Amino acid sequence: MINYVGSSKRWLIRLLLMPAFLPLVPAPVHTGCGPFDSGFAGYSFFRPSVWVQERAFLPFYLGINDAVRYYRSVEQKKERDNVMEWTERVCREARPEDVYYLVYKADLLEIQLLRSAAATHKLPVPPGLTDNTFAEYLYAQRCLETIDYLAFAKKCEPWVTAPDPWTLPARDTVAMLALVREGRKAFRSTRSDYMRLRYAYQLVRLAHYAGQYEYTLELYDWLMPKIDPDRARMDDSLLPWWILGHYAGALHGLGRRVEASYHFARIFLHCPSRRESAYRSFDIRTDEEWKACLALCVDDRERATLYAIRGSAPDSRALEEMRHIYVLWPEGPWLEMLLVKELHELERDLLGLAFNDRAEQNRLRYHIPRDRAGAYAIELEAFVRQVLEEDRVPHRPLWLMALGYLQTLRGDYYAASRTFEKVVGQVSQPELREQLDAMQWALRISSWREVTPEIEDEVFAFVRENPVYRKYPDFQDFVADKMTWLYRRAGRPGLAFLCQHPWRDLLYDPKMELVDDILAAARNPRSRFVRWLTRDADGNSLEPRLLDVKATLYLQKNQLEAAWQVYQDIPRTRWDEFLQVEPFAVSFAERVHVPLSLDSASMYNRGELIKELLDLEYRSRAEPDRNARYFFRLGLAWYNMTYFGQAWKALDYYRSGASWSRLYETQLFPVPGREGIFNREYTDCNRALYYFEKARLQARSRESQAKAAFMAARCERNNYFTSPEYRPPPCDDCIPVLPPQFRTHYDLLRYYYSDTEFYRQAIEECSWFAAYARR
Amino acid sequence: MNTIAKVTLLCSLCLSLLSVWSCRAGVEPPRTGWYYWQQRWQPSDSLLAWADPEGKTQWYVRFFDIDTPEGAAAPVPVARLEWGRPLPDTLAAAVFITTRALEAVPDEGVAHLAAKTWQLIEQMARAAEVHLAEVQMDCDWTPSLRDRYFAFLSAFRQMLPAGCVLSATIRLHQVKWAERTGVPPVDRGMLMVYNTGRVQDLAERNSILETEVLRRYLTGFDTYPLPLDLVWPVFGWGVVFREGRFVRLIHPLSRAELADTARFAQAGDYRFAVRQSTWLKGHYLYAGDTIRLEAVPFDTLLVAARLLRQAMPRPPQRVAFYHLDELVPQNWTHDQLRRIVEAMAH
Repeated sequence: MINYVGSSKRWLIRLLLMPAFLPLVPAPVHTGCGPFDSGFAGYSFFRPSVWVQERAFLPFYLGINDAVRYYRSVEQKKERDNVMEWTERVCREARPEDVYYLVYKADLLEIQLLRSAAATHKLPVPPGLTDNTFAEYLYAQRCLETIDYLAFAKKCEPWVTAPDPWTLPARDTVAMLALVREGRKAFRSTRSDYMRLRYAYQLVRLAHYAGQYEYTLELYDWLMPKIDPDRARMDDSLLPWWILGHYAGALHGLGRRVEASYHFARIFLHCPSRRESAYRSFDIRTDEEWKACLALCVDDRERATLYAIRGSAPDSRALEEMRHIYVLWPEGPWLEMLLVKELHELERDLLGLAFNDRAEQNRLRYHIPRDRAGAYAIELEAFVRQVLEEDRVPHRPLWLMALGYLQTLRGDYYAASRTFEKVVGQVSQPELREQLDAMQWALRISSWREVTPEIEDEVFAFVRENPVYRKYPDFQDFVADKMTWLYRRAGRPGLAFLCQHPWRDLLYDPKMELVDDILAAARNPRSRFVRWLTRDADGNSLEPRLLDVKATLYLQKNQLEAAWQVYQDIPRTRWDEFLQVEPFAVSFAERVHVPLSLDSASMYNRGELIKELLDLEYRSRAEPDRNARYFFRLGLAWYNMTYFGQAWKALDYYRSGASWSRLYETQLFPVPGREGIFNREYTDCNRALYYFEKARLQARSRESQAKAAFMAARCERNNYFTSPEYRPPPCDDCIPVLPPQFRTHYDLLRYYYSDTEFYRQAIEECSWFAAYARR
Repeated sequence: MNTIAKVTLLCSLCLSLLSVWSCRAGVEPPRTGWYYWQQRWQPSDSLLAWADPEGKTQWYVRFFDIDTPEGAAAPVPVARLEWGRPLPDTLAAAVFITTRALEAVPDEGVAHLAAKTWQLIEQMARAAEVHLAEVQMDCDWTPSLRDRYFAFLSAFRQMLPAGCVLSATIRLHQVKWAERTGVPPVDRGMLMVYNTGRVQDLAERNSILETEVLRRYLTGFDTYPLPLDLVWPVFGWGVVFREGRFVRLIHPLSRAELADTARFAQAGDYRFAVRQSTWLKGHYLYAGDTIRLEAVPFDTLLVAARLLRQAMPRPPQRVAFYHLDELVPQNWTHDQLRRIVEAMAH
């Protein structure tokens, strides 16, 4: 039984796994998930991170690989940014992990102990904080304001954080407002403007979470003017944006959605770590609200940001927004951000559409490509041309690359090639160069119209030697699918098959046209690529194995002479490699996996078996007096070679016991883990039945007749299992009831041979037969 | 007389008529109910008066969803109900569980998830000072998730206090192919008589309910082991397609909201084309988008009710409507709703 684990397009992996390239093999990263990737199967040679300097928001709408990792990283980034600000503003000598501990992990008691110690210096730093550089600094410098603030923040924590989503958050408005009062007092008595800023954050957040929206706005208006922006260095701080987020949240709670959205847009513009939450909180509902929001903006950067937020919706048609942004703020980051988004979408729509083997699935399940994707690509291309002509954007090479890629996507390969050539001299950064290489290869592969030895050699070299191939994992599928398509068009189904599957997948349900095609290629490999495809993992030609498969296909059709002819081309010394079976064994047991006999005389390889079957056929005709024996042996061989016999490997390469229960429905079964591959079970017992019936009629002794009738009865029973009339028995170990037309030989045995020794032995050893005999 | 008083009087009259009719027929009419599926419980006084004039309505209020959103490693409650006014004294708490949530929880974690779910429902009920008459789980389980979902229900059932019913929503196909899909281990089933079509298919006429589609599902009721209540769709929504691809639902949406011919052009009985890019109920639509306006007309619902009643061996005890929003009183009359309930009573 062939049973191994593998993936499709294994030849490319094999090619890569050649020793010289082993260290360079990348781990595939296209495990699609995220907002966009929900099963779409295509290719991407687009690295958005190379294109856009401002990357914080990219993964949100590009659905890059691992959304879990992304969102976790956003959370971590918030904490990391905060720790950095603490370090930078309060104590540059402190280790970040120490700052993190004191800000996020230490409990109130620890901080209060630190306060007492720092106030008098009569006590040392509390034991839990002795090695903490941040605590030591605060202690040494007697930073009481800072420690007081940390203690206050700890008191606020239970009301503003929700560690367990399964628990209703504690929202005791009275207690929260009492804390706000306490905080206001502390705010007033604090001299440091930076600490005041931090108190302001705590207070506005508390009031917001307490649902006191009006009070939140009042607090904001009361607190913020009391902080000197220069001394607090508010321009460099995250806190004003965090505070503004709560202010905007309160506005939203009061139904002042337009103002709230405007402030969220400002946060989107200025605070990358809160960009995604600001995007989600943006809440404009009507054209009037949109206009009002635009009217609140103080400059074109803010107005452009509103369009950027609108265009960032996952299903947006962002060219409209891009046109607005181009007018308002062409040098800003939003134009490139939306360009990347649209290119990414069009890539999914159009790249490799003609040869993507999942194109139909993409269309049916996800409506990819979109109806007007081609026309939209042309519109976007026209816009990109306009941008390039007017030359108002800072990263011209990127726009040129975008133009080339759009031309590639819509199939204008000549223009794309010219465009990419123009960029080559303008790109110096290694990442960008690599991106350009990938796009040029995508163009090159897309442009192939027919397969030639030169193209095959190019593929071989690309896959084996080009680092771009390894850095962009989707090239594996892209090249394989393209070559498959080209080979199909060229009438080379076997080579097309090998581009998608390892050669062993042929064996599940061998097809003569595939075998012949691969055989021809193996005998006369016209390129290094074809030579590689038609060799096994050890580098040996597949020819003898394919000849064996071809002979098996003839054998299945009882074309013994043709099978014998094919086998003559396999060196006799290799015959034993392909098969060892005992096709003429007689057994009452209904088992297919039985230990092989040690008697080499009863063992056959496929060539010997074909020869023996030919001999038996000849002798059955040449020796009419003894032909019952020959017919019986032929019957035995044809029975044992089916799915039900112990020599099943003679006609098949793969057998699954799980198929048994569904044989009455089909003979073709999907192979688990091997997409597009089906296993065919060879179940036909009619040929065996024919020979057993002839053996019974020709046999002289009643014992021999009974024996032949018994084997014929087994054939009939198996035919029942594979007929549409079969109904599974009510329990797994129940013996099914045979309809009359499938038990003629069992009845024959009962009525005519019940006095034979064989009958008695069959009753004794065969529970099936015993059950039928009792009925 | 103010509007509320008028509405209340009218409702009382309708209900009186309904009770007279019921007495005459000698049949206990099914109890009516409303689903409230918004995240914030803040129906207006007039809406409440319209929906529940006598305070006898069975309320099904969505408490939260259980999902595994992007970024979460395990299922969590999302879109938790908030209340801006007191909830009904007695209600059924509904919890929607996504298949994504079930996929993310290992078999050995199912009991823990059930305990967490009950813990949150109980906390919310206590905080809102409501009596839970019923908890209803809503999940469109797949064959591969069936055992896990049913294990979740079994574990959850053990936690419920005496007198609190556990029900589950049942889809039409789950009745027809009950042997294949299984029967959830709950006290009652709530049959959802909607979502019969493929909402994401541009060619679909009405994905909410088509009687021709319903007819295909009218078998299996006589042998279905759970007592079934029914919930009928009275909602309307807009299904937005962009470049032929489903983009989103705008919910609720009425024809009147698409009446501005400068922005929308009618392209058939139930289809509208977006003429110029515009905001509509918080969604930005682009010129060229298509909106399929879907709602089930009264006549269709009445035919469907009669068909279903014929298929069911006995009348349901409860008939509910999904779901209450400000547009429902504009699109439905009490008489229409009464006739649908009546159609289920015989």
